Amino acid sequence: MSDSVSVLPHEIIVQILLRLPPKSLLEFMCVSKSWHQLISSPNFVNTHLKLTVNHTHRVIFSGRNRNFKSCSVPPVFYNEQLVELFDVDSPVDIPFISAWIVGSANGLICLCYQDDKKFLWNPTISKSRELPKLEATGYFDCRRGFGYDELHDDYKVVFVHFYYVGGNNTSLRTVVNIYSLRNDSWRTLHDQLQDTFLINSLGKFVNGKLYWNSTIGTGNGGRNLCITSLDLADETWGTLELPNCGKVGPNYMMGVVGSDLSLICDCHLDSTTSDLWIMKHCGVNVSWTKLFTINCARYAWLYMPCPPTTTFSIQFPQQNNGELFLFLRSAIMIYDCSTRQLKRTVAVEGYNATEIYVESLVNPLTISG
Amino acid sequence: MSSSTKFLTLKTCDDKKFVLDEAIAVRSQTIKNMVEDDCVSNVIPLPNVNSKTMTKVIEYWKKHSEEGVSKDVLMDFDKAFVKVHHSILHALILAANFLNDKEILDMMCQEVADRIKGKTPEEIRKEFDIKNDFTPEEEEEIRKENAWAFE
Repeated sequence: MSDSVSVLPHEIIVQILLRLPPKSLLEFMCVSKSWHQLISSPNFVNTHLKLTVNHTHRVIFSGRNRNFKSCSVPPVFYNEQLVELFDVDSPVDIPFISAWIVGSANGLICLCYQDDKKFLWNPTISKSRELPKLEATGYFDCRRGFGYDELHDDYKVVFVHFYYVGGNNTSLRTVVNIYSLRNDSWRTLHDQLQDTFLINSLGKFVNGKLYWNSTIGTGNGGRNLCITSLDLADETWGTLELPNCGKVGPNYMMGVVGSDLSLICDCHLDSTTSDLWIMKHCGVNVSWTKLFTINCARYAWLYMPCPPTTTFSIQFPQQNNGELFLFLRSAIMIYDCSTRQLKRTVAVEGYNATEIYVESLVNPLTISG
Repeated sequence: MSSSTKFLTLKTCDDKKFVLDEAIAVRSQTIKNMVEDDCVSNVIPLPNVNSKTMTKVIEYWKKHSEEGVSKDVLMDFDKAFVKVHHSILHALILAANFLNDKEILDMMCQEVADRIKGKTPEEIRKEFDIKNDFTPEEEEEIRKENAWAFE
């Protein structure tokens, strides 16, 4: 064998391409027909997604002018200065209509414009798909969620509408609407949640399920706090008890640590000096474990409305330099892992940090039944 | 405690022989399978690997089999190990693929990926000896579709 470059077999080329970021792969689509076919194949896209080395997390910011910007997560850890924001083209440019980001999964973001227009959007590859219209009127409240159904390799958007029914003895009626990207259609399910009210306006997607803080009627007029989940694969509802972390409270907020469902609980009366507890949901067994405590809760409480309607997310940097990243809708906080003290808050004038997403090649236009 | 060290002889395509401790050689899944299936008589032929490449592979195997080497030392070793001309890089990938050593293969594929990340499609075709089978119109169409990625 000489020093000339040997031609690598196809399976090795696949292995190399799987390790590239989406931006390079989009560029390399025009290398040849076989590369184009490979990079756009659903199999490649899904394998690429599962390789953790590719998982560059980004934060998307919503601007006052209804525009979006994004930044990569790692520089947020390493740069003390203002993070660099990049413009992101959103699917529609309607300056007077407010846009909601419902959630993100595998790089897809579910975006709603006043509950009227809904999109599944991948900002990394700049592709979006408008969802069919969902007919719903007369409801008094609406809960939303978005996530990935791994069993059917499908993306699902959930809209839960609450109606008051009856005259004197008013009761709550719930209509659940689930959109499947594969079928590109909505299904409406009636009488799914018996006497359950979901608190968070947006469900938290963790490991195949959407979670909401909720209250459930006790039957004798009272209501209990708990967590209600929707399994996106079999579309069944479940409940989880809250952790028992003290006599008072708890005041709590639901979120995700790494890839586990978690709660930040404040179990003391004096919230200016209290500890912040992060509870971790452990696998199949419904049990809560105290993961760690963060001091300086008062900073977090500033962003923590009560009852807890928002959610949080905690990220650790890839090369752990002893910092962790607490992400709340509107704020990013960097904590020191050893002292549990808040080191700094990342804020961008005129923009709200809205959601964390991963860079992926998942194309909402090419997923179909 | 330890049984007597067993040695294996590996013969590369250019007829060079390498005598190696079996415990180290079985880092190759291919060799491990041969040893387990008891089809190793005296010399294991490696028809797809030359001696230059095999020397590199063995250097890696020995370093990663040493006892008491810290993680940092290994990381520095790996960093230096992948700093080779791309013809050697490709040869190492093919060797790791034949020997079925996932560790070396993954590391080398990552290195190639890191090197080509910022290249243009034209440079990629050259690097991998790929013929552009698109018409200029087709290529323009695909470029347009992902125009922002080329910014």
